[in-house]
Amino acid sequence: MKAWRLHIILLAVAAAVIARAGATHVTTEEALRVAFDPEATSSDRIWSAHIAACRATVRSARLGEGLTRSFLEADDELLREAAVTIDLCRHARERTGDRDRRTPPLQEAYVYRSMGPRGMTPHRLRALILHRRKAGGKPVGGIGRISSTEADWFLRTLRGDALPPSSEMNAYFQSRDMPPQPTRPRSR
Amino acid sequence: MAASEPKTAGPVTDGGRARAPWALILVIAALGVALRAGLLANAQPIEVQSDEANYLYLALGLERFGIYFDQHRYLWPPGYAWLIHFVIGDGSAFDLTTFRALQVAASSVIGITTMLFAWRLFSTRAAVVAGLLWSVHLPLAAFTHLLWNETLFLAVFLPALWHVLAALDRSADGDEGPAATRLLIAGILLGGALHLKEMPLFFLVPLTLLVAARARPMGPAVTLRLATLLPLTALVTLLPWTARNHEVYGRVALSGATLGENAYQGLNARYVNFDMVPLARARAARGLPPLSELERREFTAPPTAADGSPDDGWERAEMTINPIDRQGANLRRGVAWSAEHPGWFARTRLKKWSDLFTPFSFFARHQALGHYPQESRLGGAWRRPLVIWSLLTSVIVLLGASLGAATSLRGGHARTLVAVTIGYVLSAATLVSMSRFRVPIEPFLLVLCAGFVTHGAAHRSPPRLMAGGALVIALCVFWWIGWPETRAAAAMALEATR
Repeated sequence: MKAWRLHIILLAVAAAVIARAGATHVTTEEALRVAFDPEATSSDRIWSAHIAACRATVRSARLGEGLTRSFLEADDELLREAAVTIDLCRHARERTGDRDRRTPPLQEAYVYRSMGPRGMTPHRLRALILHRRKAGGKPVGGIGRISSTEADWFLRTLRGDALPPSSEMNAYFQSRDMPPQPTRPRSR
Repeated sequence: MAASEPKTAGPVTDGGRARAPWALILVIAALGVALRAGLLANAQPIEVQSDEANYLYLALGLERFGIYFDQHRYLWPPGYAWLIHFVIGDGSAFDLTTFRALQVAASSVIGITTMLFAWRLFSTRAAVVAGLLWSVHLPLAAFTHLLWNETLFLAVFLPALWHVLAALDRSADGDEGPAATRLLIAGILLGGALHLKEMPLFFLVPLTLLVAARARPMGPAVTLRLATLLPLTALVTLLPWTARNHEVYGRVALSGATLGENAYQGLNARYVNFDMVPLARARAARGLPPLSELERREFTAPPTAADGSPDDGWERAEMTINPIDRQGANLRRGVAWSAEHPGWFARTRLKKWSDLFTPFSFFARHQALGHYPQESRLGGAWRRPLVIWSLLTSVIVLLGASLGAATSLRGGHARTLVAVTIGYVLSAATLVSMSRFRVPIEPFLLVLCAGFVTHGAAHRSPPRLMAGGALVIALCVFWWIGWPETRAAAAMALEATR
């Protein structure tokens, strides 16, 4: 038995990891319930949406439209930003039209709505970067890849540091082939 | 990493437990690190590109949501994005220089292990030559200041193989305990490597067989114990991430999920070499002839359909929305389609190996695309000599390694381990290929080249000389196949304009 002790220890570790995974397992139904629950914490809702969206085997309007709207209408900026990540965009693609031009409509409308008097707010900047620069590209609404400058601005918003003037950031995005923002429709 | 001197391989055979020449190794490793630090300092400011930007995006996702997102068509292992997140999320101003500097430091592990392999396989002199080659080998060195995970992967993967070799040595001596300890360490390191790249996952199988073959004289129970220890340790190290994947996707994805998309790229009508994809776009922007007009079509053209027209290949299983399921669906489509076109498969695989053994590299590609700023030395005054140097060192190393493998290396399990590693990378490259996919075996190529430089054709039996000749001819054929694109890409690197 002593000769097998390394194997026994490794199998015990494996058993512990599997047991823990089993104990914390969330069913898809439960994940959906929490994702839609306005009383749940934002982080719980986002994690639950992540699970539900990734486990799905078919494109789901409940996620792509229902949950996306629910997140986009939430007060918490974190939830609104989670709506434009790959998880819900994958379920939000338009089903008709030119394949290369299909984009997640709710997310597009939200990200490209008119800026309003406050200009480029930290939340708006993060949403823009999260949506348009996402790893996954065109099929999930991405255009282009993130630059160091954009990553710097993104982190500045999280630290609460000052950002460049809106006009400067807007010009930067437009120079990287972003669609002109004022011509985009309002969603909210 | 002290190792016993081998009884079964290499010119250094005192039969005892010799110590590696650590002083020499550390001095040369420091030289290599200093040169890489110099490259980093002279490459700034350098912008992130393609996959680099995706890693950065994923790191920001971790920073904002604490969630690691997939990339729709891939699920990359999380390690690299997590490490970037760890470095950039420390609250100080955004700067990737710290992360790049960490890669420069980590490359010392690659240099040290490369020299240890050269010492173990050949001699102290070979270790010195291998170390010097590693120091100045730009195709490898450039990854230390780029945001691809090759440096960190090699810094874990290579020591893992070193410990496997040490375990094989101990097994040959009949020392089960020390062999088990080495396999445990190797397993943990391979588990770590699998957090960075999915590539070594199936490599566990030949490694396990190699350990089993070496341990067989110790009896079936010991063989079973030692052979199972390596994959068991690696998989247990990986298990928390695997369990997370199962929770998120409802599917088993041990490390990542990339095989299906690679099948789409590699087992399909359209020829793809990711070294050349961005260059093709750049050529269009610069008004240069398309690379597709230059390539030797007999090695890239799609098969012919029943009506005589070119077969268009197959589409991705986009309606399969679960990212893990989609990998399997794409793989099945790719295998079925390739089985229908065996002739196409055979001739295009030659092109894959040509792409793998090209003298071109990501360093030259970055130069060709004009990614190094013109105001930096790498993109300015040093560009042309460094591009020429990068091409030359690749040619020299590949030729030297071919001859070294055939005529300088003695038999034994060390040679088998090197052969299995190179063979595994060659097999993987039949799916999708480019210069970057050669990186995992680049240190071994340096070692074999160093062996040839220091010991020449030490084993001159007719079969070995014939094997050496065959390898050199094969290499020349691969270069001939890829020559039109290589020449065009090299010309772009030498005359880069944005």
